[in-house]
Amino acid sequence: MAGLRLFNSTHQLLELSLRGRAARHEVLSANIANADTPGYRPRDLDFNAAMRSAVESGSLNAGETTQRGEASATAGLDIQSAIYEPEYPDSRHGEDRLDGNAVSLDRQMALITENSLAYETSLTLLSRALAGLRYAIGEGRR
Amino acid sequence: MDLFKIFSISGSGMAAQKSRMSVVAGNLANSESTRTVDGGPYRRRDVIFQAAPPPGDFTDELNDIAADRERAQGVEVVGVKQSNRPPRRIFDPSHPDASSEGYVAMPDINPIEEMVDMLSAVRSYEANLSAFNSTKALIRKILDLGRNQ
Repeated sequence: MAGLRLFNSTHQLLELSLRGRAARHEVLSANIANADTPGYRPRDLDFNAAMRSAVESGSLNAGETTQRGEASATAGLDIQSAIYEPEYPDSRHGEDRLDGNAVSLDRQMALITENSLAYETSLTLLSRALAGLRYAIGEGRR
Repeated sequence: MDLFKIFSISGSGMAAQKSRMSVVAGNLANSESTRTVDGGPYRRRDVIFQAAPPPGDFTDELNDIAADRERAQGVEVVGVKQSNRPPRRIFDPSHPDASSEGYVAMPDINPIEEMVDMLSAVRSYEANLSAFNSTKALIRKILDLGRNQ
């Protein structure tokens, strides 16, 4: 029974994912706010890279979390280094405007919608995982 | 990472677009004004946008600076610039502001240019509003997570 814990790495992973998605939402919202700012370059957050480095750094250690009583996984997500300026192949000629702004509203809206859906997916999964826990706590009764 | 902070980013975008709208409205309203406080005909005005971190509380800002974190940028209007395009000269000797040769200096305002600017401001405003609403939806969803358990 050593491997069985109330809050296992699934919850941590989903929490990390929610944090990463919320951070990306902030970055994309900032791009939309600056859609008319001269010289502004859009930024993005590489969610996959952030998650990969969090998992590979081994911060998803469930035992550590329960002993310390706090989620150590929250420190594992390096949001700052995952932010980058994306290069779009078509933006060099089409979208770059005279004022040097390279934000394409359509693209940013598409990205933010995609990101919101991914956030909701993680949230639904977390909700299911917690519902399973509740089911077990209630000894299987509804 | 706080979802509530994103509201101020989208809010700054909406506020900036709104002040751009009011400048455009001022340009259209004054397209025939031959007198201003500074003297001479009205000159076309344009807003200047600049990326700036949204106002947060002091602790947040201090933590970001201490951790050398770059903050997501909102937008702010740093000024309104007057265009230096020369006024249009129109021959109308009966106009009270006509020169001795009968020419009137009219503001060089192109309605099409202003309309395009206005539409662009409206679209940008809507985009910010969509971002705002999607943030709101995310927060509502996470509140539901607590309700259903």
